[in-house]
Amino acid sequence: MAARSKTKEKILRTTLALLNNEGEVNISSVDIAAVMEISPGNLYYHYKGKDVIIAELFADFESELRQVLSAPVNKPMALEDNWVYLYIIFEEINDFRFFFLNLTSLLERIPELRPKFARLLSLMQQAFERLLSGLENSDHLSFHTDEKSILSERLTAHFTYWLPYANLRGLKGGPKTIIHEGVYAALTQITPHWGAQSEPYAALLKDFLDEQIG
Amino acid sequence: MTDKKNKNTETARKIWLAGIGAYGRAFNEVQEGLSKATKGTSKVFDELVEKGEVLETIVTHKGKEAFDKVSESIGDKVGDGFDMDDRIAKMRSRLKRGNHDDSDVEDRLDAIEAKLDEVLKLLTPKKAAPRKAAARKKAASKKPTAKK
Repeated sequence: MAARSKTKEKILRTTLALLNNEGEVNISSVDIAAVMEISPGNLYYHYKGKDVIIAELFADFESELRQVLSAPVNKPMALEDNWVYLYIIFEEINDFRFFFLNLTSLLERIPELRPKFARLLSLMQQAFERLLSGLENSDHLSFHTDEKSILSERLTAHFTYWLPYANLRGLKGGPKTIIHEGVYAALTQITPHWGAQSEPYAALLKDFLDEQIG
Repeated sequence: MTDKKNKNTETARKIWLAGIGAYGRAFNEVQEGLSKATKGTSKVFDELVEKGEVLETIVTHKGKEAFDKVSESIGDKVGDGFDMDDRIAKMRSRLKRGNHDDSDVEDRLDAIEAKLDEVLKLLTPKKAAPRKAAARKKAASKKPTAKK
């Protein structure tokens, strides 16, 4: 991506904050211009409408998440970093939450994002599968045929829908708490694959969550 | 599965879980304590390993001791999640180095990935079938020249 003008960068940052905090459906390009204290015409000069801004925000999100998702392949990560790693993936999603909170209608309205988003999800699925394979190869987890890909698919779905789900469930606490809960819920899904160690694993996992969210 | 293997899994599991704060440190202490204990009484210990469960008790006990000690010494830090934030920040910067200049990121990633694959193959020769490793190497060294 070529360098952006300062104004463009500011438009993107302002829009992202507005959409995340006020909800995507509640914000129009006129609102964005008003918050930026520029005229709607000026805004239009930089970006031809809200959806163009959203598409560019998505491109940013995609490149950020790609970096994170491709990291464990490139670097042999210490096992202990897995909680932190999942946390960071959730953080990325949370930074772009307006999109995940309104997924269906946004993808209908901006159809060119659909294949890009699908591509990102399959990257995520692959990253999870690699993570599971790593744990399997080091004799931590055991899987029957196909279980690994099924589980990584399920984890991808979990990451995609965790924020709206947490909303619907009325989970209390700040974004950190909700993310930690999400990481916990993700890791509990691999509990059965610890075999004989499942029970103590589940207990320690719970202990750890309690420590994080106090 | 043998008892020994079980033990390894258990050990690894604790490391894996932990990292995040006190558990990791507690675990290091447990290991130190254990290896000290093992030195003095290795014969007896071997017998115990065969019976399995006794060792389990010791591990659990030592673990709790060490954990309590560590919790005391770092006290509030763990409680308010200070360590966690620190860890997250560190990993974040590790994952996202060279941010915002993604023009050739794809190419660079490919090159890095290929190189790392080679290195990993060298580091873990038992897993990689030699033929496969050679094939990878070829592919990796071909790639950059092909791009030019």
